[in-house]
Amino acid sequence: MQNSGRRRGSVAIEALLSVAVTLILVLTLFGGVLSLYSDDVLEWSVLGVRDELSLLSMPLMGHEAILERIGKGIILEYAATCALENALSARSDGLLIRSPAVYTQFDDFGFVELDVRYGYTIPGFKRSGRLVLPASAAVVSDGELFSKKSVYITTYGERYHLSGCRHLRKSRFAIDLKEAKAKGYTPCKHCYGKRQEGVEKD
Amino acid sequence: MAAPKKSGTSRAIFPDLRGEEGVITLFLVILIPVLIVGCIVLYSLIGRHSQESRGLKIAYSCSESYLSRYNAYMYRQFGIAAAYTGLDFEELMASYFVKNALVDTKEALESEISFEDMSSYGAFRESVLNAGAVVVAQGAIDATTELLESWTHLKAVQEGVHRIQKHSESISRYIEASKFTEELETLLDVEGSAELVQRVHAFRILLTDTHTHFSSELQSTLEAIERESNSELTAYLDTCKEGIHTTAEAYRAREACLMEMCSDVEALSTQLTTVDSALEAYTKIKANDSEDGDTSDLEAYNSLLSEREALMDAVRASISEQIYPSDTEKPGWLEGVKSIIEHAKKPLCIGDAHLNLTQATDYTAIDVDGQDSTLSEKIRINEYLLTIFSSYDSGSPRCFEFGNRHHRAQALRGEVEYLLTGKLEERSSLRWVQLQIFGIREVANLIYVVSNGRMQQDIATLLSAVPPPWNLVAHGVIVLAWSGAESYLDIKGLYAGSGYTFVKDPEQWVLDLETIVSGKWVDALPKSELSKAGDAPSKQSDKKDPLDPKLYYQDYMRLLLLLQNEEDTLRRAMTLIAVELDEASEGGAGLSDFSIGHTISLRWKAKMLLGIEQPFITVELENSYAE
Repeated sequence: MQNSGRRRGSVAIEALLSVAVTLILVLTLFGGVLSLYSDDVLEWSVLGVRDELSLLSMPLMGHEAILERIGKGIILEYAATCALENALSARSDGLLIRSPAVYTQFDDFGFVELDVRYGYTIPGFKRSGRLVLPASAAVVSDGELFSKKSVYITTYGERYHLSGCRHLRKSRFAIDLKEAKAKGYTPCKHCYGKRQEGVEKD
Repeated sequence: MAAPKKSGTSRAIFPDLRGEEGVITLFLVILIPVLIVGCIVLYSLIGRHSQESRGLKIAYSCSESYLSRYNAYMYRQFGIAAAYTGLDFEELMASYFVKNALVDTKEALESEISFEDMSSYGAFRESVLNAGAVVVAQGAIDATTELLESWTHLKAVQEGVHRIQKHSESISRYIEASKFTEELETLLDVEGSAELVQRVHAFRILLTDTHTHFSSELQSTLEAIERESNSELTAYLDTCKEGIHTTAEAYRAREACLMEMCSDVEALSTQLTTVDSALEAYTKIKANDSEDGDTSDLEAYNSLLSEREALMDAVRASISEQIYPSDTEKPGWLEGVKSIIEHAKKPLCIGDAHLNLTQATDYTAIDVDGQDSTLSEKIRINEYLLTIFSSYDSGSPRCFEFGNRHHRAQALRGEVEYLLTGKLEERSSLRWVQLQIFGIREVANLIYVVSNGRMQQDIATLLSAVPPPWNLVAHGVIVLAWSGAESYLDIKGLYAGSGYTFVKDPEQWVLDLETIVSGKWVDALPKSELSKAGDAPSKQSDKKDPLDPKLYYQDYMRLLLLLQNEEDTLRRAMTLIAVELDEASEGGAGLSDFSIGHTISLRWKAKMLLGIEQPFITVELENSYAE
């Protein structure tokens, strides 16, 4: 009788422990997956906001002074925040995101940068999240004069390259095209290949 | 006796429970770690997928942002959305990957970006197709808006035109009602000098009265036209006034001639009266002394009769000259044909511009992808090119303007002509185009001449004296010369802004056979001929109703472009755009500096979870303006 009682006790302890541990693991995993899912929900919503903001910014292209003021002010942020709230409220799973806040500023490339900070309604591993995306062309830097064209040179190379060239993996230095030509650099055959081929066939 | 203490978790927690330790240990030591590891693996897999998804979204955002910065010059001038490849795209992407903590440093992101630049035929064709939809739609909307605006005022304009026409017609009717010719014809029947003097005097009074009434009618008509204040009718009013003045001048010239004729006839009448008096005297003498007639008297009498007859002939000739103006001497019809051939050799419009191409701007010999176009695509491309580039008549009804392109400085005036011929010399380019149009018009006019019974009859009348079989040869020559001369005039008219239906109707046909054989057809040439190199036509076709069924110069350009190989057209268009870009950027930019899309390939190492090494994540993305 005593042995059978001991056996029952062991089973009860095992069950208690296993349920507790499994529950903790499952909850943790669920929280983690939910936070990743929440990230995904927010990302899609921000992409939608980004498109709306592009439409807002597009007519202002070439008017960088105005856009600078708007970008650094509250109008663009307010528009983005409203758009994000609308996008999240339109989704049934938008409730997973808690208190989203949008900050805007100009990045180094002349684009409006959307910095979205948010929390999770159901806490998981992470307490808060952040997403930073470029929104739209704020200025037309090359404009109509074509006066600011940068190409790239390498440490030892004698050719200038476009930004996507594979020869720029080890080193790359931006230089104005006219200056590069003046210094005797010639165009890279990889970057300017198509154009060169076209000319050679003449 | 208490049981001895045993080590083990279960015993430590529950000291009263003994035995079955193995089951608990098995659970705690094996199952729990497996669960934990399983959760970690699952989480890392989902996390990896999440990183990949976020990376793709960042890449997409960067790509869209890059494309959103389309070049303003390219869009405003050509309607083509293309990005200028000056921006460091890789740097942009790496910076946003770092900001989103997907990688720690910019160097950790391996990226390869290939741009679809416009120097390749396929990319250029695609961008033209996309731009064509926008540009042609915009042109159509502009034309429709103009049409609607004009229709809004249509009723007012129509009423104004009707009133002006009534005024103008009143002058013509007045001249017609003057019946000078009928009066002159009755003068021809007059035999007696006294009656002649009386009728000429009456005719002179008629002329004076008509002049007084005509002057007052002219004045009131011009005042009535001046009162029309519709601004849209200004050009029409000017034309009407010009027409009325021309009519008035013609009337005054005729009036002066008639006055002169009256003076002549009156002078002749005075002589005639003298002769009639003498004849009357002789007749009386002869009646009194009929039997003793002297032979000398009879001769004098006959002489007087002859003199009277001569005077009457002079009077009739003077009157007839006003009724039926005498024709000038006609040269032989061969001379007329000869002058047609001589004129056909001369170029109609001469431009002396020359397109200077460099290696960077010459795309006329590049390889093409050989894509098959549908008819609608070809039409869209052609309409785009006709909108973007100018021809020698940019004011025709179906010529739409994109932005202010027609007012820009351009290397060639006949850019569309260059698209058709590929000739750098504008002069030879235009000559080729004229020959093509001449060929089309010659066929159309030949159909008209051959199918027109009256014309065939005129030719048969002219050749009635020519013996067979030469009459058949001559018939063919005249038909060809006639349609050729008319075609020549058509081309002149097309360059001056006129339009003609493909097969003309009798109202549009200019030359008759008499004009051809007399060589006067040269006078019918429009005065806007470009006599000097580089001159512009003096008058372009004004903006008219786009639904006008006539074919204008631009329509022939449209037709020739449609008949031409699309690859040749596009390669020449690439060259023209490259030349324009080269000039605008002072040699800094070419077609290869503009991209219409790109392919991104990204590779980065996923974030480590609990120190576990993660494999690389690879993302690929294609994006373009056409997407």
